[in-house]
Amino acid sequence: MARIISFSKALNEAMTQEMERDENVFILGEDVAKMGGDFGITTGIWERWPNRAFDTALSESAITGLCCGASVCGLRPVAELMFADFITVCYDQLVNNAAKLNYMYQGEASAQMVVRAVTGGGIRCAYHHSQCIEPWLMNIPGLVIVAPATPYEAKGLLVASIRNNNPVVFLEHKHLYNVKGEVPEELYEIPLYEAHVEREGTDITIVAAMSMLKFAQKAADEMAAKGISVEIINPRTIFPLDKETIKESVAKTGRLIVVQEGPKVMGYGAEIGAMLGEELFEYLKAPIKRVTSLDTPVPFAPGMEDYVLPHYEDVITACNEVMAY
Amino acid sequence: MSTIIEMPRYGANMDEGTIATWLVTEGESVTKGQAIAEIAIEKLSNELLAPEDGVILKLVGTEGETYDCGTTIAYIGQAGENVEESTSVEIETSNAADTIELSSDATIIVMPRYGANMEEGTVSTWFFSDGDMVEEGDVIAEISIEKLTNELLSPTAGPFYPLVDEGSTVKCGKTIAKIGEGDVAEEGEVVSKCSPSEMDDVITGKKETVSVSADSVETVTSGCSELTPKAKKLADELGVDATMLKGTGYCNMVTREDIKKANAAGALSKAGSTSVPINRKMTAMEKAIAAGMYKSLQETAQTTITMDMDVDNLVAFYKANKTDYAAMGVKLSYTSVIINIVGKALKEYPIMRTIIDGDMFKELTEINIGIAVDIAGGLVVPNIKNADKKFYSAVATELAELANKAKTGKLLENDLIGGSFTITNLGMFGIKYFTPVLNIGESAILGLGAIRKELVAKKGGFLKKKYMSFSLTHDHRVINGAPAARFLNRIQELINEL
Repeated sequence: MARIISFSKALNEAMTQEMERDENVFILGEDVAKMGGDFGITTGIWERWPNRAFDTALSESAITGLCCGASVCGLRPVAELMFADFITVCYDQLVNNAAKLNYMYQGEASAQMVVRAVTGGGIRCAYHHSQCIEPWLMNIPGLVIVAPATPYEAKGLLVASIRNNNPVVFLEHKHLYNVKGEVPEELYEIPLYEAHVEREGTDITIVAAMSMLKFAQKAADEMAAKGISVEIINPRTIFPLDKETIKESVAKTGRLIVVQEGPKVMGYGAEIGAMLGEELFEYLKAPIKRVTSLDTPVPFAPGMEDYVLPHYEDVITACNEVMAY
Repeated sequence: MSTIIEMPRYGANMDEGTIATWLVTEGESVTKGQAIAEIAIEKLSNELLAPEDGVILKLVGTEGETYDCGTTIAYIGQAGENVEESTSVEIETSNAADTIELSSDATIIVMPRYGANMEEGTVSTWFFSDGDMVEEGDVIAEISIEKLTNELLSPTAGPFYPLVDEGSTVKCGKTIAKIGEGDVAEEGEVVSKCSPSEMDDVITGKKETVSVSADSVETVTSGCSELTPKAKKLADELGVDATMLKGTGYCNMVTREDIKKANAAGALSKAGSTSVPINRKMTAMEKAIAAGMYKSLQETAQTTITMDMDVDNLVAFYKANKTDYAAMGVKLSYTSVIINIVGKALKEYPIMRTIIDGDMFKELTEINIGIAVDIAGGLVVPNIKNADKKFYSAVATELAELANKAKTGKLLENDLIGGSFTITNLGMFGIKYFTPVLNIGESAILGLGAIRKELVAKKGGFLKKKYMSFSLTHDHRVINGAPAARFLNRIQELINEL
């Protein structure tokens, strides 16, 4: 039975139902237990399972290190990083421990952990709480980066992430927490590593993840009114990327726009563009376009922040440019 | 039931032909395959054969006259049958075009032929019913054949009338519907437009107007174009007609690779239309090769054994020495080193250079090793005299000279006679094993395969090694399997000792 619930509630449900199903699952993080999390995502869990929900010290490094150790012991930790930006202080644990564990122990142990990290800008949180961190991790084979865009995906992908034996960094965009959508009540999984074709079209492919998906959908509507058919691909798992779905789409349309919230330099848009340049060059009808933030830190001043983040109008401009080429 | 005989089409370039001679008269009985006319086209003349047993009912074409391919030139049937009756089956037997214009402005739709093997199809769905107006290009029916379903497009606009029920299975070329108000298939009014062979061209070549294959339908609905942009550009540059190509890219799109292959095949390039069959006189060399190969296989008991040689040492020897030799102006090659080795082995194994002469075994005392050289006009086998007595550098130099002479046509008779053993190398083409044919007057020939890397299990681990396969054909009348195998093993030893 599907009902309309928020992205936050969907996440909470995923964790609760997985904890009911598998006693090895537990949560930890700053204020995730008694307070229910800074964003209220873990509300009610500590009350039900006081021994499986832990408030930690203010040390992301310790949180992630603990996850690695618990994983090796067969548990399935789900940690919360209040802000993904602080992934920098636990980088060593993630990159040199979690991502390598399975290889170092020849598959006998693995970092079967989920690090939920609150990402993205647009809510006036300034430099240290507004960054899109996925490119920092996309160069680390062994890690999995999951990026849901809807409440339905939030639940299904988090369930799949908890069950996955690889270390998963699960990105939750702040802007999406209050978005509501249909979510089945029962437990379900959305497979990782598979992109989703949100909308079929024939003229332009737009790849957009998380909060950028709404830009793509709006642009597709606007372009449809002009007779231009836009196909939208939501990667769902940003790394490793489902290249095949993107390639099939771009082969058909010959035009690609990546809408990515983070800075342009070295974002996943750059990777997708390079991949298509290598593997799909002959199918392209126009240059690949990226709509991104400016290459600058995300400012605090609201006007400045809006200026730096990608604009919906930029998506339309890009559409017109690729069609006019 | 009588059958139409049409002006045939011999090859795609033929548009018309002339009836040079009728070899039969009206009323004459003929058997299937009997020549009934001589058809002249430009410089050639071909015999037209009767398609079935029967009686020549009518000769419509006149001797000396030229007719377009597909034009009716005669009727064949049973004695006493009259020709007019035959027209109702005309379409069926000729597999005529998909659409046939009638004098009364109706267009007949016939069961299309998708590919040469299709004989009949089933109308699984009609998308229009009696009197519905259709536009050109509308999908009017779904045609099922075995595992495929194709859409049939309307060739024209007008009121549509299906003439068979859904589910009917109909022979290719038979009427299944009409567009227009005119009467259908008035006897004698149907004009067949092309021969069966042309029919296939029509179907594949004009699929956008006549019919759309299942693949293309999928393509159209999913919004893919038929060619990638770069493939289109390349096709234009090379003059390749891409409409008939099957795409191997995403969405079955035709890619640059497909265009390049088609261009290489030459089959579809606009310039060189179809490949010309090889019909020409053999050169003297070709005759000699043909006779020699045949004689060799007729007169000896050839058998081939193969061995994978560990050539790590050969490769090491070659790499260690080639630079030094090059400095002396000598082009060392794997083949030249192997000639030296084989020369030594041959010295120890006179049986390998023993031949049968009458009722005598005769040892060829000189170790002259022939090398098969691929040249433009065919194949020559000059030999290196006394290879067992020569240094690596001498063999390498002589080999290069002989190959050069062979390619420039400067070989002397002495270069070609007196061989006692031959080496042939197909390794450069990636060939591993083959069965070389003995050179006349010799009892063994050694085929060299490509050098390849392999992983071999050794001492509980894996070892990367280089192998080269040697294929030794020997005349079993002289050399039994075991001596031939010992000879190969000796070559391996000599390689190891390099």
